[in-house]
Amino acid sequence: MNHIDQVLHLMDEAKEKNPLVDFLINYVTANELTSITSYFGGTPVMTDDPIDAAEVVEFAQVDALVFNIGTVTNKQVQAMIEAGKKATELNIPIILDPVAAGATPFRSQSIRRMLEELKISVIKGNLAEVKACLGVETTSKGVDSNEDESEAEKYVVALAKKYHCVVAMTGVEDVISDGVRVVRIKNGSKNLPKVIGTGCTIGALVGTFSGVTKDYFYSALTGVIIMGIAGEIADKKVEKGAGYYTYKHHLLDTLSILSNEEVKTYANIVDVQYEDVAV
Amino acid sequence: MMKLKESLKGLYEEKFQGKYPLVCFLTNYVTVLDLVDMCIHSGGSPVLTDEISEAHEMVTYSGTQAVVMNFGTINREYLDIMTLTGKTANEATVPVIVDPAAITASSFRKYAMEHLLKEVKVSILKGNLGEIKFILGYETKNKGIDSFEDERDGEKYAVELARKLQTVVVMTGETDIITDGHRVAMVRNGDADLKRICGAGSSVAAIMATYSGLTKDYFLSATLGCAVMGVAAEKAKERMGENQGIRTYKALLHDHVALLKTEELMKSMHVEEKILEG
Repeated sequence: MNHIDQVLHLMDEAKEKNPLVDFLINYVTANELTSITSYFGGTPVMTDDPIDAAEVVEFAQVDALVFNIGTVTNKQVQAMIEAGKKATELNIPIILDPVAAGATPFRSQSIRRMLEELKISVIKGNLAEVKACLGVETTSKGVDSNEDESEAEKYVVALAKKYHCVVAMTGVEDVISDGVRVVRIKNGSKNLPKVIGTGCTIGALVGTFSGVTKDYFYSALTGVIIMGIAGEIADKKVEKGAGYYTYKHHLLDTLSILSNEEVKTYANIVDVQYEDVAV
Repeated sequence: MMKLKESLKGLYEEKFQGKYPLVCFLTNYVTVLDLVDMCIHSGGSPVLTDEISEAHEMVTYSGTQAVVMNFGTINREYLDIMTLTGKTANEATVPVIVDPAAITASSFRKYAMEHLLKEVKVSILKGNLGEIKFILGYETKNKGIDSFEDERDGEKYAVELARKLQTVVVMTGETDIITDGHRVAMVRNGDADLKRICGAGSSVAAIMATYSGLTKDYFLSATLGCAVMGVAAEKAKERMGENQGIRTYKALLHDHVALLKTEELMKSMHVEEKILEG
């Protein structure tokens, strides 16, 4: 199967199998994440208590976990570690969204703990966050990245190799790699970064599709490209004079009815031949 | 039969009399905004708390008229807050509406419910069939917040739980079933896409709670909550244009809960009632 066929296949699989996605995420965008999971066939569960978090993984037989550190606390890190250990033991994928990684030493330490103590399947972040996970100096401290993305592959591949995982870097063009395969996705919209939660939402999509495959390169690719394509379609629905809140409405609407045909028509994926260069 | 519809009409009309029942929410952080919005759309006034030293005072000090407890993101601390607030509500005869969202996900949640039910007298317990079966101790096919049960036997389980807890049990589904173990109301409104809106299920509890603040007949307020949500969902669906998705549907649903007139509700409501023997 080529890239597009893999994407369409995972979209069908999620709608048929209704993967159970367990969320340990921030409370700002939680509604968007769980809503969009439902749009694509997934069924969400949320946990907060460390004891409950560890138990839900096995008791409810979750298919994927999504960690998002947007409003992380000490207690939530503990819940993530407890749930993550159980998931690692049971070979259940964990998707990590290291929101504003590098913003504080606490976040950097928390991420390092997760990357070292758990088997993370997909790291999804912008270039600043990818660099922070690698321990490379960055200029961005908040949720937005203002890094030069022309050499993004270098960092994405390095991080994928370091933790034997898939890295999905979202940006003007998205870069995805498992350390061997590398693609650039040229879908997306300038409006997407203006809507709070679109980045986090990709984590929920990757989680949903990771619940129905073991090839996380493709679940990451599917989650990322869906947001890019929905972003483009939403662009066309926004009338002149409308603002970002209207755009957000159209984006969510589009996601809830996105068809396989639309994905096939819009998808713009480029394979990258990448020479291994040390960071 | 006529009597139930007339009673529903009477209760609904109180929405327009500026009473603004105060509803205290102890809920999850995923759908909290949907719940408080629905409370306001229904004519209520929401208040929220996260702090154990004040939560029970929301009942005694501010005069809350109904309390909503939702299990979606429950933790041990929150269980304590719910228990204490619930006990206070019981003493003040303020109704407690419980939504065991995603209770099937862990045994901690099951323990939490058993603990709460032991300590607090619940006025309305609202869940899907899987959640109701789980509380009764049966096997379920639930995943996360969603039920994948065959609802043909729904009434049996709802009645069993209502009798066991001596409370009103609401099973939301294709047909909503409301029972106090003796009376059974069936609400046949709504739309299949309603379950595609995250938060629609928990929002029903917010509507019920608002009307529970205006009556002591919780069978009635629970039935009204289901009917309002169901009719609003149908009205919202009628207004959907081509190429519009679930986000638009959700916006229209909120609009129609807020704007629903008594005549529209009465005209579109499909409610049946029966009395059980024994």
